[in-house]
Amino acid sequence: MAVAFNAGLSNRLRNAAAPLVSTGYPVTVAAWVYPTTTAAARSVWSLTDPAAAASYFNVLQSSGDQWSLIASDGTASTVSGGSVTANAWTFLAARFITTTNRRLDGLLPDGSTFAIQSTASRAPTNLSMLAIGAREVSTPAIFFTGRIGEFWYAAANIAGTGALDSGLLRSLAYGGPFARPSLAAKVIEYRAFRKNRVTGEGGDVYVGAGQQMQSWTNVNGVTIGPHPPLPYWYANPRQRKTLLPF
Amino acid sequence: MTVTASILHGAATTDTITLASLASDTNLVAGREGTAVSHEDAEIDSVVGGKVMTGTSPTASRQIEIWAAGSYDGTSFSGAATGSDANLTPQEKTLLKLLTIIPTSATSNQAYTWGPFSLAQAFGGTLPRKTSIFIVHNTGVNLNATGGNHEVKRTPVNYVSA
Repeated sequence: MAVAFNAGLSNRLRNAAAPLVSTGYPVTVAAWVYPTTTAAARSVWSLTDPAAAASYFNVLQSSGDQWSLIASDGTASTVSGGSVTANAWTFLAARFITTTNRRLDGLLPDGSTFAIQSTASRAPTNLSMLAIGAREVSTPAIFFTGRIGEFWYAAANIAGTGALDSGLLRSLAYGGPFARPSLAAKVIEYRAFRKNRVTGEGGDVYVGAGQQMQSWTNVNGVTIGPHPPLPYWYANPRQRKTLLPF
Repeated sequence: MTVTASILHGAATTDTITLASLASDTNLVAGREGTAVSHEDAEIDSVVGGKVMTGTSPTASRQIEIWAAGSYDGTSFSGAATGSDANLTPQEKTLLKLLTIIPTSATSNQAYTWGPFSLAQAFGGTLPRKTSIFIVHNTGVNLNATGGNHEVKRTPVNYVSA
């Protein structure tokens, strides 16, 4: 089951103690996203200063029905690309690499991909709040409507400074981060959202080595919905496939 | 006395599935199902694979999806599949099991070989009584018109001891 959001209820999941540096860079975040509305800005994920109005990283669908990447340190830098398709699953992988290099790569429902980049210098500070389904700034806004599943993030840039290779993007989408050991080692937190919204159950939540289990809050009742269809060989963090002859 | 268990791969069989000239579907829903294969009282697993060829001047960056439908009673199949070699629009595609997605290019008559995939693992560890393969694509043009350029084959897997 993926987590299901309703912008009309302003619901979202948030973690007020993000295990990331306060300046944010570098961070990689990825998830399968299923928007159910268009023609309105809807936030998929944000890393914010919850006490400020305009200090944040944000991945969202734009009012112009494109996927957008924003970094704001008082002034927002926005880049957009890839068409938003309602009621279909899109895989997004965002990388906030440096103050002058931020990228969003996506695998669209029809099999095509897109890659966008922002090079405008932006250096937000005091980033401590993680949110799924909203831009959790001093007045939370841009709430999401739809479903999100297989969410994970790393305090690292998982690839080079360019756009993700098509093969890597598809590997992340259909195999997951744990299908690549070198990348898996960088994952800070992974939440499949197959079983529940905020509590952890075996195989559904993973935290990286040296990390503590993260505390998420379900604000205004995020619910659950159908999970993205993934092949059986999608690698879960504790999955072991061992032949047991008898 | 020591008993050794090992895997025994049986002879590969070819599914009956007509993929020649299969029409493209922008929504990736209307595709082709193959004739179901029975696993009743037979193999432990069935490893499936095949080949598919795009048509002339396909649209770039599209995909071919390979799914498996299973029967829980030998008669009814998931997603309202029929178990017959026929065009199919599943009742709900996610009721089937996704085996793989093949990214395609704009190259005409491009052959793609997919698999092998374990049907037992696709269905949570146990083969259903029957399974069929469902293929759908959105490449923008019909798949290649020559039947011999497409195939779905499966290999039964058992354990033997000696």
